[in-house]
Amino acid sequence: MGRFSAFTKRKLVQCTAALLSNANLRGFATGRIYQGKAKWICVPGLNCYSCPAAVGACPLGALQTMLADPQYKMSFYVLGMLAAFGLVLGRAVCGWLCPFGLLQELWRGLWVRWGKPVKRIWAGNRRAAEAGSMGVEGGHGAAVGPDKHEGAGDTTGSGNAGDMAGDRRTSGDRPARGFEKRLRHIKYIFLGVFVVLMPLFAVDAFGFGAPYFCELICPAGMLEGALPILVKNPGLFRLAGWVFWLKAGIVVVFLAGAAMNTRFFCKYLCPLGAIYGLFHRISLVQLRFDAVSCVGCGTCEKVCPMDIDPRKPEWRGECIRCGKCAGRCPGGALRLTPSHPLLESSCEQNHHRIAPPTKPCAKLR
Amino acid sequence: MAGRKLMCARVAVGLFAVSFIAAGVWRGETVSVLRKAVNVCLECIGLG
Ligand code: SF4
Ligand code: SF4
Ligand code: SF4
Repeated sequence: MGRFSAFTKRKLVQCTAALLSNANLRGFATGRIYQGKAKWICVPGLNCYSCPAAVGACPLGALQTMLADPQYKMSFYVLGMLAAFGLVLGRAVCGWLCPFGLLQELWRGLWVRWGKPVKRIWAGNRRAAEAGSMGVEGGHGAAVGPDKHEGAGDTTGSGNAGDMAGDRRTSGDRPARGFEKRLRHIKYIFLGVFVVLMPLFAVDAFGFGAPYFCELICPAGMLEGALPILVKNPGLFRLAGWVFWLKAGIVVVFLAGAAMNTRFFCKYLCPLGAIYGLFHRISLVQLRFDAVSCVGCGTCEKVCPMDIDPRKPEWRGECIRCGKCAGRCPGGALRLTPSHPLLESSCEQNHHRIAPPTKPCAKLR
Repeated sequence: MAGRKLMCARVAVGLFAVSFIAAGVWRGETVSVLRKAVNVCLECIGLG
């Protein structure tokens, strides 16, 4: 493994994990899902169990199913599995093991590599529109309008290996920090409403709820499950109702979002990422920040696929522990390390112990 | 999180995880998860 770059190592781990979770590749040819006994085991990442290749259960789907079942109304097993994954890996599951995270990175990479003609048309239209409006307004603001956009576009436009695999961060003209931070709360709302409350309380006459996140939102179900199954069984299309077309619309929004914004679903919408984010203080895999070694270049923030600043503790729940910032940090101030389960400190303690967080951050502003 | 507190939190979550998994297996939840997972979930694929 020593010969491989950190980038290649992570991609190898991601691909291996995706293959292990989806080992029944024959299912794609037959259009039938795997029905072996191993399917009672929850996999760590978001991986639809209706995908013909899936050999394990999606923890989010399993949790909703159990909550919706009047016989149980609770799932000790799934909660225990989530706690175990969260304790050991936390959101490193997202950075290293989740097939849907990998899918988003690959899709983003394809877009960066092959979406240039579409982007050029889009940029051309914008420039024409802005030129029109400048004509009306007497041309003021030219220096900060299209030029700034071009510059930002350039940072994502070139294609090294990282870009091609979707690792390059979002374009420079992203939403303001405060607004974007609020958008990231959507995944907690989805977790509370669609994964927990609705399966528990929105029940039919017999007391049965439904897995509402799967039913109304999850794009993984459509892309990993519906697409391969319907290709092999087109007769099922006759069952498609308004829910199917609603989910098809969500898939289109997801694909557009994931093309424009690295890990769009993980940042804003995924309840499973929200659950793992809750473990960020105690998980054994930690991103450590040494404020004394930080040279204040801001590279970590620039390369982060989650668009966060790893020097600030308030963003730690969003960090997927991909290690990209650590690999690029010129001062060696960031390290992705497994910590001793009982002896070592959490990232946050490290943060405060070495230097108060205001010091490096103030220097950077 | 201070070292001692962190240690306690990790032990507590570890015990929580192991006991919950054991309780779930004992309640037969794994059979329900299996039953759901071996059939195509119509909700997941938008047909339910
Ligand atoms: S639809 Fe989504 S949440 Fe539901 S089982 Fe499939 S992947 Fe999991
Ligand atoms: S946030 Fe959800 S979809 Fe994204 S990598 Fe994590 S578990 Fe997978
Ligand atoms: S802060 Fe670093 S480890 Fe965390 S997601 Fe960003 S680049 Fe990856």
